Amino acid sequence: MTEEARSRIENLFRRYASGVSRYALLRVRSPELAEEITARVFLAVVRHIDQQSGSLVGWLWAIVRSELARHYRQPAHQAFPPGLISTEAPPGEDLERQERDRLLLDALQKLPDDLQQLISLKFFLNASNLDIAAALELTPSNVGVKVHRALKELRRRLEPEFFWSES
Amino acid sequence: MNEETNLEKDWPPDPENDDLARLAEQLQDAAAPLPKEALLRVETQVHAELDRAAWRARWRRYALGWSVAAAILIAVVGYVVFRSGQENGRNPPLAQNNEPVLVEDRITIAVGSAGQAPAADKPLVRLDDFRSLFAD
Repeated sequence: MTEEARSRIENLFRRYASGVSRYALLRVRSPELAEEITARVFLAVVRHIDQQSGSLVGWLWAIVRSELARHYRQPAHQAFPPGLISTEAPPGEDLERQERDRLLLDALQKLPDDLQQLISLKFFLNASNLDIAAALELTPSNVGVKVHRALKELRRRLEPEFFWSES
Repeated sequence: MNEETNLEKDWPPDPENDDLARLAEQLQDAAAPLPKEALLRVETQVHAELDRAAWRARWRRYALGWSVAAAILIAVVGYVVFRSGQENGRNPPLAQNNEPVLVEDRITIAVGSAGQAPAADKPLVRLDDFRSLFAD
């Protein structure tokens, strides 16, 4: 592995490890599993960096999705070992917030795949519009317009339950 | 506000933008971060894998270098052996002309002179000198 590749991976980790772990935690709702999936994502990055071409963020996002898909393909007893998943709310998180997050995630998962990707890259991975544009082959200004449209669609699907629970 | 934290970058004008911005913040809040220790553990694993990958790459480079050197050596030795075998086993050139070759040779002989006694007059063994050998 060249020094240049190592440096790219380290930069990618610094920039996106937190976002990847947040997204994984949101999806699997278990800190232990989210940590494991985050590790698997970045280990795959290290092992396959020589195959990477095009947008680095797009490539990372493809690995994240692939690792999550692999997690969900596993039999339930492997994906969710007894006692591994926390059934308690994380500290400071109340039931109302949990319910709101569940509604958000449910609505997000019902969006078309391209809008889901946009929202996930923008708000969970915290990718810049430039990086999202490169990953999804859009123009940077188009990313903003599409994110706006995706949020409107998400809002439409959340109403009225979400905004009722918010009040 | 930098580009990364500007959730509303490039949004078109819309009366709902304030609500949408609030929704965007709620989306970000919905994804809680992992504890720092968890991310540190992941970082340790990634660094260990980076070190292993660097070691593997270095080993591959050495292996490639040694393979090239061995291939060159084998080629040189093979060439030398082939050439020496070719030179040792080389047949003499075949005669192009199959006609018999004339060979000339000369022998010098001495002819005895006319005054010399013929060999028959001279006793082959001087029996009188060695009579004791025959005395019984």
